[in-house]
Amino acid sequence: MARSRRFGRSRFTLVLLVLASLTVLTLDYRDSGPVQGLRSVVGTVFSPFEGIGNAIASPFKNGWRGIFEYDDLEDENRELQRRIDELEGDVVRDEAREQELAEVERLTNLDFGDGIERVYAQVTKGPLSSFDSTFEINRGSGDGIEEGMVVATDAGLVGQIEDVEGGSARVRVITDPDHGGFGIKLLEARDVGIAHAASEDGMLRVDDGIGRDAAKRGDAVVTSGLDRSAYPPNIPVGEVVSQEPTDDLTEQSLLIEPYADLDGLSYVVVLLCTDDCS
Amino acid sequence: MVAARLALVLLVTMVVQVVVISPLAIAGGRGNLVLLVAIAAALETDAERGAIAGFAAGLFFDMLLDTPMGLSALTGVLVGWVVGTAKDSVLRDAGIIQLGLVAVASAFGTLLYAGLAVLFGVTVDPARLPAIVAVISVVNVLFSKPVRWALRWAYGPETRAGDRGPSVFRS
Repeated sequence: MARSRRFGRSRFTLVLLVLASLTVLTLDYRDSGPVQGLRSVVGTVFSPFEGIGNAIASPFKNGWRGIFEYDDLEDENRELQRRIDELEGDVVRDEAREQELAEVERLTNLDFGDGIERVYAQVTKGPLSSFDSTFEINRGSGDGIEEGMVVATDAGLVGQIEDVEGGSARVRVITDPDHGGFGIKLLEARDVGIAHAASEDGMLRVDDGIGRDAAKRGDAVVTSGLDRSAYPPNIPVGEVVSQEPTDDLTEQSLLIEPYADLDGLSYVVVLLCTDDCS
Repeated sequence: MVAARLALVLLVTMVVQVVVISPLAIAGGRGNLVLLVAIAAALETDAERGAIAGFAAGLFFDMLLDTPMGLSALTGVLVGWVVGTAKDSVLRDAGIIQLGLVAVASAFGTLLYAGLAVLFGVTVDPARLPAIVAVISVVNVLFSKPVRWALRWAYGPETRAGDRGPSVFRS
């Protein structure tokens, strides 16, 4: 009897909580102000705790990287060693700071988006769950950033601004399944197609539009900038890593690896244009 | 007092999630301690408290994510309740069975989240789901001991499984 009563109460609680969740979902779906405000407040309140956690976890993270990213570290060290040799006698700088400085310097010398005003931003928060590949930057509407603006690094295209607040913005990367398709062009063959997120993690796919013999492994891919394209033309996107004929054998489908390291971003540049980018 | 201890456990869990677990992407999947909180609370107490813990942890996490707010909360509620009910109904209190339940419940919770996410307009790539489910299940099994220990401390002896206290909604 007592067990049955408890089960009844438990079901009542379940229904109440499900209704509460659905209410929150509905409010968020309708883009209501209080929900967004609450999100912003919780983010602000949580960030000092996150900072403390980062400070505590930092030595352990470094140890983890040392063990499991040894190959990457080795390449990185070789590059750093080369720079140190070139600078002969210069004081060896702190490794992390040198990387960051080099990254910012490279961003100032972008060879695309000429004539478009730009803002440099630091990545402050990466993706938090398996179903969310957006990241946060430390520039927002106060810096002229608006939804839809292009985000890139010196290596190439990164994504698009999705949400903007006063001092921060969220960026959706081009390999996110929720990022719509965008126009690309093979630099050499000039064939154009629509790239979208591939099933392979961190890759892009072009299903059709590419001539049967137009692409080969290693070919460079840039944005096409054609009508209705989300991006201005000639921003480097990535390189072809594999190609296979379509079912009707008249075209090729391509797998493209982005040039920009979308998992390891520290600094990015935002092109301050929306409709007048090309 | 229980509420304060629970809030502290949730805060620490969230910091660990954001600082340690989330940056660690394995085969495209990231662990999900929020789901584990619901599962562990249900195992330590009962279905009702599992659902409440799942709701609180999920809502907290939702506020830090860009996905629709309420999605993790709804998943947490359902997972907490299902695990608590399943434990009460059929499961023995053996350690290996409980670990298995954590793994199965994590997989169920992840698939449930993915299904709900699709319903609310989030694009989910089915090809990536097996890896995500596997990563979340493994991470949750690895972290289940400390999270259960923390929740056991938070709930105190009076509300733990086997000696459940009154419903939170009792007048």
